[in-house]
Amino acid sequence: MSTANTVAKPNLKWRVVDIAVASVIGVASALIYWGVAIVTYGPWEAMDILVPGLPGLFNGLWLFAGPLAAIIVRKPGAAIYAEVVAGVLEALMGNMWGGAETFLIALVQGVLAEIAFLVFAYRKWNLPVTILSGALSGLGCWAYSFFTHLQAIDLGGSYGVMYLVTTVISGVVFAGVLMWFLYVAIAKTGALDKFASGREVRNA
Amino acid sequence: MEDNASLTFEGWGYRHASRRHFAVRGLNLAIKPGQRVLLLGASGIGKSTILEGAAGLLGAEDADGVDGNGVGTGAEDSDGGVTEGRILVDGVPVRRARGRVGLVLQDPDAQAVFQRLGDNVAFGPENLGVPREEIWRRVHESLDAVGLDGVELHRSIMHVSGGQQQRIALAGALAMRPGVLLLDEPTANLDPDGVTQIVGAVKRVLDSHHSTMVLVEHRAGPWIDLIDRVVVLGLESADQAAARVEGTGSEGDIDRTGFRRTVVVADGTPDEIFRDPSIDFAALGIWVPERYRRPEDEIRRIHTPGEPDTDPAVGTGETLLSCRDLAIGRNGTAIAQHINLDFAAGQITALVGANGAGKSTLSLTLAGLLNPVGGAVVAAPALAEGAEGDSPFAWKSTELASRISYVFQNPEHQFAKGSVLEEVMVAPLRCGMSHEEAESRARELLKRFSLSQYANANPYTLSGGEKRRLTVASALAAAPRVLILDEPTFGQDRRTWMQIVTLINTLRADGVSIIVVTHDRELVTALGARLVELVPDRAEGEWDSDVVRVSEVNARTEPVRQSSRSPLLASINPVYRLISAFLLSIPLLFTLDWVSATVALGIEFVALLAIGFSPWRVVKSTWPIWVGAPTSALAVLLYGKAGGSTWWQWGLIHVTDRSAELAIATAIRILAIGIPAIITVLGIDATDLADAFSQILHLPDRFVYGGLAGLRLFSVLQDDWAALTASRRSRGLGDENKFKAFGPQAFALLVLSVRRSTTLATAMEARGFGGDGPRSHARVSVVRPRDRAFLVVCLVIPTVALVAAGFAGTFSFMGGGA
Repeated sequence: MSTANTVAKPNLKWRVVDIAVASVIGVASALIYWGVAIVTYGPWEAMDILVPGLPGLFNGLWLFAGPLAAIIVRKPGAAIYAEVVAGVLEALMGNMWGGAETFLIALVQGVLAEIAFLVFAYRKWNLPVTILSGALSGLGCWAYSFFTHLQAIDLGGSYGVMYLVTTVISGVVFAGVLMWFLYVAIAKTGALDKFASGREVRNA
Repeated sequence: MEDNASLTFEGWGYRHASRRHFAVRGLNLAIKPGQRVLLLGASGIGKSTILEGAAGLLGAEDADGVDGNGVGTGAEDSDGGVTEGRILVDGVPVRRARGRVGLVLQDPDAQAVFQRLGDNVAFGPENLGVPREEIWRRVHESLDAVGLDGVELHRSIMHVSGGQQQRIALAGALAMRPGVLLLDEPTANLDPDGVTQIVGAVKRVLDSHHSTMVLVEHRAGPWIDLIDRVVVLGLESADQAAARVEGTGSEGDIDRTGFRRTVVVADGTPDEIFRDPSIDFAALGIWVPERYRRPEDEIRRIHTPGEPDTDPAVGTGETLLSCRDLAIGRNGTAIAQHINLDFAAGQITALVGANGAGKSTLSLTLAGLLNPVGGAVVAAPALAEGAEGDSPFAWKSTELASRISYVFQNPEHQFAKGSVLEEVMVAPLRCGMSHEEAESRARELLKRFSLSQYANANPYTLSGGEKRRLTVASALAAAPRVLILDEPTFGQDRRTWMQIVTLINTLRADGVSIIVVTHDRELVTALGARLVELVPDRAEGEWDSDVVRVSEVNARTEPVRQSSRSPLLASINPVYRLISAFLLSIPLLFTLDWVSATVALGIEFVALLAIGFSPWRVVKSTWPIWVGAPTSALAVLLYGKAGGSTWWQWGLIHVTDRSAELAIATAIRILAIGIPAIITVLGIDATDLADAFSQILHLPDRFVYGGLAGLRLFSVLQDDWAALTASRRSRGLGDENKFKAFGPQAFALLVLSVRRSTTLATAMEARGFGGDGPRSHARVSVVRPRDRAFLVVCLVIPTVALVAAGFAGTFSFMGGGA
């Protein structure tokens, strides 16, 4: 997509519609995360026994709210905001990772996803940057796991490395590549006409 | 109390993002204080754009598109639109007259920001910075003005009828004390009772406040006594002297070739306008109010070429589908029982009844999308032939799609493909038709429904009426013998209405049994349909029809919801509850050993028992972590840090004394961290949490309340997900592998969520949200000494656990070294 590359002077002020869309992406994502958690529980253990760290491939399915909100809304903090809204919702509902903790993990993943767009000063909106965002988000997810419930596993050992590789790959695929094409598909429906991101696709 | 303002359009125009033509251009219109104007014009002429403009919602928040005097500069704003000219309220540019204009939108559900009813009314005054005592005085006054005095303010907005929701939206607008009230089809989504409620409420308001009003409404009949001025809009083109008013191009978006400006083609009292023989109201898509109807305006039975001679209320006599002692309901509780009905080929049946009476439940059950609570839906042999059994609910999705099809009220619940042609080909392909055959069938249907020119277009980009025609075409593609349509004429203007009615009538020639869920009397008349009415127990039917008795709509009082099972926890400030969850859990991360984890878990169970949680209740509330903890423990057992004697080694798996000990510690610690983290926050009311974020943590209101509004859509999106699942089953996509089906459905959910949030943003801005001025708070987030004491206690628990580990000598920082 050569169309979505640089914006000369990005408008970084949040409009009400930016806030509403970013938060609802967070809410819809939380709904999907919850479904993913139920579906992947069975295969997770089996895969972990089969190849250590392999289930990290699922992790990207819990990382996409941040990159998606960022590339649609294109405002500073969009990735953090969407992930945190999703995390707060999960905390209020109660889930597998334990209430208030989802708030923390969401913050870590959101901040990491945000960094990709920040380093390009919110001027580059394309597939490679989205992939970087997904990868960083995966890194955050991995680091958080080893800081908390996988402390007992050597993060430099074969399990740790394998889990890092699979989680980052998953972040790249699900939270990066897939989100970019999902954004393009949503833009084609005309739902994003009020956003610069949507008009870029529609007027291309 | 008299409070009204003038509204003036000076050469005003607006072009929406990604559109080639202006929606409205060069509009000059002056409305005097206290006037009550009905704004008419063909569908797509820009009436909603005019109201949004008048409410100050267009032209974006940046200065680029509009200069200091509110005059459009012709530059693109951050919404991608372009403004020309200006709109003044009492001589002030509308974007600087915050709160002077109140807007009520069509969809009542889209205008609710908060869960509790009273908070929604208070929202506008909060955004205007009105002091707290004054806010609540206005809330009571406004609810009183719309006839809802005495209603419980804590009642959930989801638990009141559509008519009441819309009255609450009106009260929310009134609480801002607007001088101008704008109503954008406020009754289009309501049943007849809801329409009466809203018209009555607006009348009371106008009688007491004498506000200026601008109303946009296709069906103006019930409103006509309130109106003192009717304005009919048209277009003027460069190449024609006379203004064009009719829609000529594809419906929904009128032909704008050579479009130069929006003009007022007729302006006068209702008597003058509606008795003017030179205006073709049918072509304008306007329903002429009953009292002014000329013979040609009357709705009669319509006829289409090739229709059968049989009476549509009876059909051919060949029964296709029957209910046998059927009981219906959504959660296993019957809302209606002992239903016995037959549906015949060529017959049109109208299911009618008040909102919430269960029309959709019955129709979904008939469509094989909901399981009957009792009795049975039976497909006649002619319909069931080739399928497994005669119960539609038990059929496979592909068997269902070629026999019974369901057209959802919201077309976007149904779309599955990226182009119009593929959309129509879905069901035939799933039912085993070859690609060529499916394509030729699809093209034939597109031609019949005048959609051929959009074959390659994205379904979502069509206009409202086109989307509806597309969903009917897709539903018919697999040649079902029974077609069920949910509110097919909802919110349509008279022209699109006529197109849909004609379309339904032509289906009789195909021997299809048609069931429409509706509250549109004119639809029933035009189709000559058989009537089946759902009537609550002890209530009287409103229609002259077959009556199905349903349980009464729940009307009991609603208790104030507690934010925790423990009264103590419920009394703690939400932000303090959130912080306490971190204080309880984070310190435990410093060491990974079984002593600290077990001590913490033990104290937690005792503490929870003391504040009212039995151990069994704790396990029930936190079950997901009891499932999750073993997963991590297993990974640690197999791959964890090694030490001591080896129990088992195979490949990378290395189970040792140390990894086993660490696995146990990991599992116990996950419980010790997770249980309090869940229990302390579980049940916190989202609104109370938002208030605390704003008032105690001083987070910016825009983000806090924007996020809160998003959270409220959660239940709406859950319903969307259920509708998407049902529609996919109805279209033959339901048998797919769960993983394969997940992607497209998640996509549809995200598109819906973006659309819903865009509408929500409009509704919030219409209440003055997002401005730069100071906001006030209707609710106070209180912090008491007990909140601080609670934090201290929460910090003591992990501290004791860590000290215990230190004494026991098991303390192992972050799980120790490799």
